[in-house]
Amino acid sequence: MSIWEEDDTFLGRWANNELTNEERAEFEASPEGREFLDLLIASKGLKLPPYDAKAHFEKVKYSLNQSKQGKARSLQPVWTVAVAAVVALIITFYFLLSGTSVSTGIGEQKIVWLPDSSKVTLHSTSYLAYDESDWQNHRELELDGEAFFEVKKGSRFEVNAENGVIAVLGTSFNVKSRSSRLDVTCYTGLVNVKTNTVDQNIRASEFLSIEEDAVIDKGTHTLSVPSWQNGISTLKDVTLKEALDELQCVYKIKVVAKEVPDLKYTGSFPHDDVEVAIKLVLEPLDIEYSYDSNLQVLTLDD
Amino acid sequence: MPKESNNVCEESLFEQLFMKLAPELRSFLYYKFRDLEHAEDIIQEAFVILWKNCLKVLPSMAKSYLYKVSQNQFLKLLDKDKVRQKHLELQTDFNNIEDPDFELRHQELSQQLSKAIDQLPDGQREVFLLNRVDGRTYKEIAEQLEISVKAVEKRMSQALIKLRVICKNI
Repeated sequence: MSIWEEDDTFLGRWANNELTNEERAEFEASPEGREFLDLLIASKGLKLPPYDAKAHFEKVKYSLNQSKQGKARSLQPVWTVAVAAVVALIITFYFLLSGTSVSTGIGEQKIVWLPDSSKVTLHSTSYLAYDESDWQNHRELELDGEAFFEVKKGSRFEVNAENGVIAVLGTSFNVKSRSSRLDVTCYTGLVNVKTNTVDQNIRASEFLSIEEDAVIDKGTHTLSVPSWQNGISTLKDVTLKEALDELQCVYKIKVVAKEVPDLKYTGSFPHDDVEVAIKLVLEPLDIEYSYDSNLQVLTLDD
Repeated sequence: MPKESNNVCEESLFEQLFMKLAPELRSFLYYKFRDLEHAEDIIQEAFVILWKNCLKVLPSMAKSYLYKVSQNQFLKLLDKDKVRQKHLELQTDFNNIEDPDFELRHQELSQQLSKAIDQLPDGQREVFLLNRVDGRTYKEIAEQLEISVKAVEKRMSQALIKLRVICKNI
């Protein structure tokens, strides 16, 4: 029987450098000792999944603010609860409106009401900003990401995206501005898209795609709202990279690839099943891949 | 200079505590309960509870308070059978390893190890990971787990014996 089988703390003390040099040398010279040493060395490659403590702390602060309201309510009799709820609602609403920026995280969507009662649905990982206090004079919105606008009749404003300006008049339309590409889809009414070189009107059931100041696609569609609002992302003739970006807007996954193949993708994927979504993007393009659902890592094979 | 405050009701102090303790709490809970998502949720809850009781908690007591609260919360979840995943697999990263003995073959072994640790009994897994991944001393681990240093040495020995067998069979 060897020493590490006889003495039930031997390996623990060895791993913690507590043996004498002779004991140590003797043990590590044995075949088993060598194997144990390999285990210790190999354990240096182990890492926890990355952690963003700062972002996590923000969540704590957020839930503290939430629970403060809850606590105040629970101490009041029923009728004051109703009043408090209404007050809280008004306050929330007020802050929602007077706050000049709204953003969404991965897989999250938000509805924003503009001062003129127009409704904006913000898709995942998007950012929308506007000047609440001076809305009458500054009817402009900044958008980075994707949003669906349902504009109140008679209301007029402009959406500034990275690669163009979309002017509206009583209509509903979708703007996607995530990369150098700009996609504008009109559902009702009329919008005007302006970039350095392009100046085009888009009517209901039409869409326009612009990249680097040139129209790359224009045509008609039959939808009444963008499909992402119903939990499906639909992409038409985009690069694989853009498709993977959309995937990462909706799902918290990491994509690992030596090189993203230069392929075009047309298709749809759901927002509620990551494995199906990945399959629907990569299989049509004949790309071999593996997905680790625990680490949430998608690896594309070479 | 202000003296050390006698409670944790000050936001900057509270934030410092979070930045210092949340990462170690996260490893601890993950190693123990093998559910990272719930571990992070529970850390959040534990700090909310700490803030609500901030007048009653001395800064020096905050750590053990958080460990108690978060473990209790986890046990509650386990009672309700809410913890479904129960699976631990660490990542491997060979970029910043300073050990000159770390060779290519250790990379493969490291990957086997990342899976094998999931099969260790709770006590052995905690000790092995707290020491090898988080670099905590046996004394710290003993205090944390409320066991003796000798017990830590024993668990470490058992963990190594078991890991050797598992990795051989992969």
